[in-house]
Amino acid sequence: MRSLPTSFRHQHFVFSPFWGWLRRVRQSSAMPQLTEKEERAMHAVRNPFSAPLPTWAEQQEVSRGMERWAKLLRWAAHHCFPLLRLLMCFQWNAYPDGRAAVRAFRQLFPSEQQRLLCMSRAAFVATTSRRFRDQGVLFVGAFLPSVQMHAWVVEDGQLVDAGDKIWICYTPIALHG
Amino acid sequence: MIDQPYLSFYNHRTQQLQPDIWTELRQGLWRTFDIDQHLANEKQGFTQLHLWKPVLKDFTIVYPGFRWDAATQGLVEERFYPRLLEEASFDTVVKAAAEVFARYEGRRIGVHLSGGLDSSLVIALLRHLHIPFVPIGLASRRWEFRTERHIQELLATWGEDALLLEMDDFPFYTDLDRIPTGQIPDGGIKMNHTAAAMAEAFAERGVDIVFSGQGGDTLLVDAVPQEGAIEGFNIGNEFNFEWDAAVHYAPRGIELTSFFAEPTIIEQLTSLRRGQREDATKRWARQFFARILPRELAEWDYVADFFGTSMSGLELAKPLASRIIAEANALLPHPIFSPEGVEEFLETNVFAFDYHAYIAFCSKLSIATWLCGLKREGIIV
Repeated sequence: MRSLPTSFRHQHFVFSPFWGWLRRVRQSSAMPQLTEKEERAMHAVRNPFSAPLPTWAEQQEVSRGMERWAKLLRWAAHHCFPLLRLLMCFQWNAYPDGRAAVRAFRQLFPSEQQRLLCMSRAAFVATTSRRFRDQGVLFVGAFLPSVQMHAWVVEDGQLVDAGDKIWICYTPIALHG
Repeated sequence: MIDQPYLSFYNHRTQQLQPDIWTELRQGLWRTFDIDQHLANEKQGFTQLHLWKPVLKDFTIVYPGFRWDAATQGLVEERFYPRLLEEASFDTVVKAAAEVFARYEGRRIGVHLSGGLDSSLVIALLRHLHIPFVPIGLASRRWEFRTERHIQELLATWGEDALLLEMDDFPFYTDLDRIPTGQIPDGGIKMNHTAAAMAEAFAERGVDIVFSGQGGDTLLVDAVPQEGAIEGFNIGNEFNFEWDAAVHYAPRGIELTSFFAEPTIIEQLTSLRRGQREDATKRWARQFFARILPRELAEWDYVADFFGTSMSGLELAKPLASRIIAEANALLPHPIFSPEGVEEFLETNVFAFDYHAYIAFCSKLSIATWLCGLKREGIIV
C-alpha cells in the first residue's frame, strides 16, 4: 500500500500505510509513480463519468472459510491495521471478480453495518477476487479536510461495489494494487 | 427586520390569528422563548410541525403548509391529495410542464442550477420546450463536487446569461452577524449570503421568476402505493424555500417558486410512479426522462455531500460564532450558551464533528443568531 500525499487549501495530508491513520504534515511530498493499472484506476476515480455505474453480481456462495476470512479482516480493520496489511498479502482467488467478491461480503454482514466495514470489505475484495492482482486497485480516501476515511476497489477501470454511493466524496490518499 | 407573509401567529389571549408578532417582540415576548422546547421540537423533525409544542408565551406559530384549527385548538396540516391519472406519460408530463411555464409567458425565467437531478430536470424540460431561461447556481471546485460541477458547466450552455458562483467565495456561516432578522429562529443561517448572491445575480439579469427544484426529493423518491389512498403532500412545508423567497427574492421583485410544487406536476409524477417503492437514487426518473436529460444524469446517480463545505465554513466562522453565542448568553442566559461551551467549541476539531453533534450545534447557532439579530435591529434594547 502506498501513500498518495494530498493537499487541501494549504494543508498537507499524508496517510500512514502501516498504521492506517491520516496526519496533517507541514510540507507536501512527491506523488509516487503509478503503474499503468493504477493510472487507469485513478482516471476512473478522477472522472466518475468515464465508466458505467457498477451493477450487482448474482447471489454468491460463501464458504465457511470465506466467512471466517471476512470476519478476520473485519476484526483486523477495526483493531490492528498492521495485521490487516499483512493479511492483504494473501490471495485466495475465491471469486471470479470484484463484483462477486463484494456481493459475497455484503451477504455476510447486515446492511446497517456495512457503512463501518468499508476497509474490511475492500480488503476482502482485494484478497478474494481473481481479477484483482492484474486489474484491481484498492483505494483509501479521505473526506478532506476532515480525517473521515473510506475504502473502495476499482477493477478494470470500474468500481466494483454497486452498494457504495459515498466513495465519490473521498479524495484518494493511498492505494494498494 | 423582514416581511414574512408565509408565517402567522395564533394569539391564545385574544384568540385571533395575527400576521406578525413584531410589536409583541418589542414588548419583550422574546424573553419567553423556550429554548429547550425549540430544540426538542426540531428533534421531532420538520414534517411533524403540527405536533410541535409552543415556544413563545401565548402564541402558536403557524408555519407554511399548516393552519390553525379553532375546533381542535391546534395546527392542522394542509395536504394536497393528487388525483391518480390513468393516462400519464412522458407526453402528458411535458404538456403539464408547458402549461405551467405558459403562465409565466412574457416574464424572464431563471432556474437554480445545482447540478443535481431535480433542478436539472426543470432545465431539461424548459430546453425541450424551447423556452429561454437563465441558469444560475453555486459551484465548487472541491473534490466531492466534481460531478455536480461537470453537469453545471454542461447545463449552463443550455441557457442564456448563465452564471456559476463559486461556493468558496461565500463560506458557510461566515455572515452570521448580517443575517436578516426574522420573528423566530430560522435554520437557514448556513447559506444566507449565497442565497443573496444568487438572487442578486438573477435580478441583474432581469429575471423576475425563478424555479427551484425543491420538492423533487419527495416526488421522485418516496414510495407511492399501487392501491388505496395516497398520503398526500404538504406543499407549503416541503416544496418551497419560503425564507429565501421572502428575504432575498421578493425584495428584488423576483418570485421564487418550485416547479415540483405545481399540483398538475405532482399528479403527473405520482401517477407515473404508482406502485413504486422508495427510490433513493431516483433511478426511475433518470430513466424516464433520459431522452431529455444529459447522459451524465440519466446513467449515473452521483451525489455530493455538503458536509465538508459546511465544516470548512464552520471552522472559518469559529470566532464569529463564539462571539454570537456569548452575546446570546448575555441576552437570554441558557446552559447551551455557556462560556464553557464556547471554549469547548473553539477547541473542537469541527472536522471530527459527529453529524448529530453538528445538527445540534446548528440549532444552537440559529437561536443565538436570531437573538443577536433582534438586538442589532433594536427589537431588544
